[in-house]
Amino acid sequence: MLYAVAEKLSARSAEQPVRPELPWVDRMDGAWCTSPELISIYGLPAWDALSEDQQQKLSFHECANFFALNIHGERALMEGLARRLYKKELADVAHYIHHFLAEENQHMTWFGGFCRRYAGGIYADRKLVLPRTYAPGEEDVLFFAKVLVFELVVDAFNQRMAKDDRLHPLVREINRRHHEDESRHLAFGRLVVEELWRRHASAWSEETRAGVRTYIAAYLDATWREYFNPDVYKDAGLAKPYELAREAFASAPARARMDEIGARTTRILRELELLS
Amino acid sequence: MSRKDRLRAWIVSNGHRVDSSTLADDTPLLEQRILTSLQLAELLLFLEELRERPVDLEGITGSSFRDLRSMVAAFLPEEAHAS
Repeated sequence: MLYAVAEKLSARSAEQPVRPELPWVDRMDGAWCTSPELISIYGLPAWDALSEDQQQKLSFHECANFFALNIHGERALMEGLARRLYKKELADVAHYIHHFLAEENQHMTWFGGFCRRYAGGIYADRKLVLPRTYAPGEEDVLFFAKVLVFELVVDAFNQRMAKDDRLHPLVREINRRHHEDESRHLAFGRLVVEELWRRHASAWSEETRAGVRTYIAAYLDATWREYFNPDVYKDAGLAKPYELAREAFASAPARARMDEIGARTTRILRELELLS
Repeated sequence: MSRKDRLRAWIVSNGHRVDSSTLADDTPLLEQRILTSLQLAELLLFLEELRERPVDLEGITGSSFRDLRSMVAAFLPEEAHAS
């Protein structure tokens, strides 16, 4: 099943026409770069207190943060995928992994190009991965499950922003192109997680299986937390950025938005038995 | 409350299986899974807020978070000298 799908996805990747260079502009001023309803503090008094110009400025920095999250996520993904290329368990789908890697590399040039041109750099990644021991197959299950979580969340943003004609055309185009490729990556990622879980989880102790579910729930929460970045608020000129980030993340409007945007992510993780 | 005490309070409030009576300066936080790697990003944000300046993230490793004493030395050096 996995092999057959990977072959189909490889064919679709190969059919993808060469894309023209993105329509870069000289400056990115006076435009919406994130849909207002997707902005981390939308619905809070701190948002309502901003003028439209200030809201647009925040929308730019939120976009730069979103693209930075994509860069950090895709870099970790590429490292992990490259390490697994031709491993016995995934050797049959190595051909598609090559396409996957090539596409991720191209995505990073879009995100990096935007951040370096217009935001003067890339917002820092505060995630740290510490060495630990794993049950057989657990590290691979967690790696692909984390990739799936990261990609499902960003894809929900991509889909909405690709269609939002209030946004700058360049931003829409980056979101559109990314979604186009991610739909294939998500199909593959879901099947890999399913297959690896089926192969390994039954040999694990109940404690290990529960540990994986606890970890994925915490990873999902930590993924969302990165959308509330005090560096963004600082650059947008907002007061008390750390406090604002903490309060916004815990606020009822943000929780409702994460539930709504993340509904597909949660549903898929539950179907895969990765979330209780 | 000193910044070290605020950090101690954060660990007690967010850590697993720990309370203020059991948390010593050299309690191994990662080894005993009192803190997990997924909590370190949130902890870094708290440390930045405490020290009122960003942390240079390049070169940060798990050893900076080994215990309360290591964290103070790595992120709040003024407190380390004061105590």
